[in-house]
Amino acid sequence: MTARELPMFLDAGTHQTFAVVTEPESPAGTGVVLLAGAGIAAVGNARLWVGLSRELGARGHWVVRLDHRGAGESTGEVGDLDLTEPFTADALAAAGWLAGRTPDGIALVGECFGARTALDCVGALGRPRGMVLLFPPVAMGARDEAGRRDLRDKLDRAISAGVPLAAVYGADDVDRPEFEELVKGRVPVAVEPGKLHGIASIEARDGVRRHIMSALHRFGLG
Amino acid sequence: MFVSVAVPEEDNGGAVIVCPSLMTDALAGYRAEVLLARSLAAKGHAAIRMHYRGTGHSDGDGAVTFDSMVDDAIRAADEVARHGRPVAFVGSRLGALVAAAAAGRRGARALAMWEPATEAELYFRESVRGRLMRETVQRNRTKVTARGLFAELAGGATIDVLGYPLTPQLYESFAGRTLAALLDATRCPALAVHFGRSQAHQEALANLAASHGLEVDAVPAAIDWWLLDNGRLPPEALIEHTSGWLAEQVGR
Repeated sequence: MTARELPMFLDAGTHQTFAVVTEPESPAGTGVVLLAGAGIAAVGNARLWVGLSRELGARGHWVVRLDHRGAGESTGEVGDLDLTEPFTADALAAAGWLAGRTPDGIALVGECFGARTALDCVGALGRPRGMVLLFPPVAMGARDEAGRRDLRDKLDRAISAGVPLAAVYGADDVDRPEFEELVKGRVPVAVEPGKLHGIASIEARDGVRRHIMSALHRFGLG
Repeated sequence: MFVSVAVPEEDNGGAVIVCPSLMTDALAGYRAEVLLARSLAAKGHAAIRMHYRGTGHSDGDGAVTFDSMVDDAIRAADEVARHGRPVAFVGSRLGALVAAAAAGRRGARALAMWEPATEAELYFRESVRGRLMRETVQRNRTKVTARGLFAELAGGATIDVLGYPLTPQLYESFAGRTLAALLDATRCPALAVHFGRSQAHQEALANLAASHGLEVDAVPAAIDWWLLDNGRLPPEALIEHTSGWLAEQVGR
């Protein structure tokens, strides 16, 4: 931990969600919630969330990175994953903790299943400053129509609500073509060569980080 | 340094220091180590997990060596030893070598290991193969070879292992480290649990059982250290078996 990081457990109803809060050096009134992929601890693949939290904190934003239920330090258990039932209570617990500290609003950054969680927060969160969706899965296999429909509905809802969205994919990520077909240009999709899903190289991690910072900048979080 | 303590409700007096592995391994084994710590606490023993400096939630970036990892484990042990608790160490994969070294230096009551690396060199070779396998699976194969990557490392360059920096300092600090040599310096009961994945690994552990009295058990587990499988839970048998053995060793 750094001197500006605070570990804590947040009450998420059925379980306690572990979170690390990064306190900004000079608070700008904004916050960012980082949502990892399913089963991945809040350190993040290739330690992405740790580096990003510290960079955003140095730029004046409160940051919460968290372990979803059943992962990392959190309590709770998870059975089979269902894209239509993301871990929204975890994200809302983090947003709730930030609420009094971020009068200028929060943005959410979600990776894979965490991107589906971020989208599910629209409504409960009002109008967040923006959402960065990292390689959101469209469906859990060819026959998962419910997963597809759910994503389409939640994207439509976020777009209708005027939530600024940005997506990031690797050119070879399997979900990219279907996602692009679904959003039909309504969401900017940044594409890096190769596969980004799983963030399995330093180059991929740095590319993802660059796109996140760029999207947050567009959302007005400098 | 990020440290998490699982505090026992009914105190039976012992303490166990959990030494994680590195890189993707540390994420793959994360939940299993959390559940092990909670299981130990439920049996009345404090369990201390840490992220080595320069890894995980801890401060720093990349400046990790074998000595710094052992120092971190010893520092955690010193904290709990102040309260007069007998201490045991547990480590997975590369963390097993750290746990074994710390157990030797600290005069531990016991040492438990999950899928221990028997030779650091083999571990790093496997880690580089993991990268190349992943690139193949993702059809993202670069032209690099394992030999080429190790040549870069020998030339003083840091290489990328699945998003984590393998620095020449880290690699060289583990050079020549073997579990056999580290067990030579320990005087406590030692248990190795393998997941039934590699015949060669099982044979290496069987040799250590014969030469060093290492207790070796098998608990089939589907933890994939290099190709992360989201959300797969560690088997309860692994947690229970290991925490039961450790509780027996450190119990009053």
